[in-house]
Amino acid sequence: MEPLSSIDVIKVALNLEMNRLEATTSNLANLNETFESKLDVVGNKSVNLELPLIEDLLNGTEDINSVELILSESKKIESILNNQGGKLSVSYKADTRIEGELVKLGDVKRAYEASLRLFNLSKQLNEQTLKIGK
Amino acid sequence: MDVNILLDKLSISLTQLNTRNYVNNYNMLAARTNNQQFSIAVNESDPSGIEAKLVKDKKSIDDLIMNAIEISSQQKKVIALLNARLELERLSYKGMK
Repeated sequence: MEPLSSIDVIKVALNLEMNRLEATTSNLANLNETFESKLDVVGNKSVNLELPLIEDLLNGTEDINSVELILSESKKIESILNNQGGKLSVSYKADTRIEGELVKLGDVKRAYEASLRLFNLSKQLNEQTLKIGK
Repeated sequence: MDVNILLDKLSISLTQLNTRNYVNNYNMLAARTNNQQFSIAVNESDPSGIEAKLVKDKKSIDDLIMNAIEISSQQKKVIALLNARLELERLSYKGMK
């Protein structure tokens, strides 16, 4: 059986938060971008993962390193009616709420910092173990 | 206490702390992905101290950090104790020579 590596778990957590940060930043960057066709619209991105059961991880039947991130894109689209010199046209954009994205951004930043703290504490545990007998 | 028994006990304690830290880090991931969190309940009546069971739990991120700090401090204590005992054994070995 492989020894349990707490660092590996935190590595996945940091990777998740980093990808969430990128997704939220991308959503904010595309906030006002409009498209002529619905098909071209870049939807709201979100990142998640399917966490294995803790029992399976502790028994060694599942490996935390094999967990993959699930990237998804929302299909919610907003239509905008434009009036340019009396000529009406419709354009489309992703249905993004700036407040929601900013709250997500704050959450992700805090979770990343917390994961980093746990990483440092796990590293400390490993360093302490190496001091046995010294 | 015989040094071998003590080493066994300390080894079990370190393994338990490592598992608790693993579960604590898992809880961090579980909290961020809306999954069930767990904590480890050690069976006190088990003489080997290895038997432990998982109990459903729910902690905030701040609690998880506090828990990790506590685990780290407990591990420091166990290792300090182990090193002190080993030093004592060394002294006693030198004294016998």
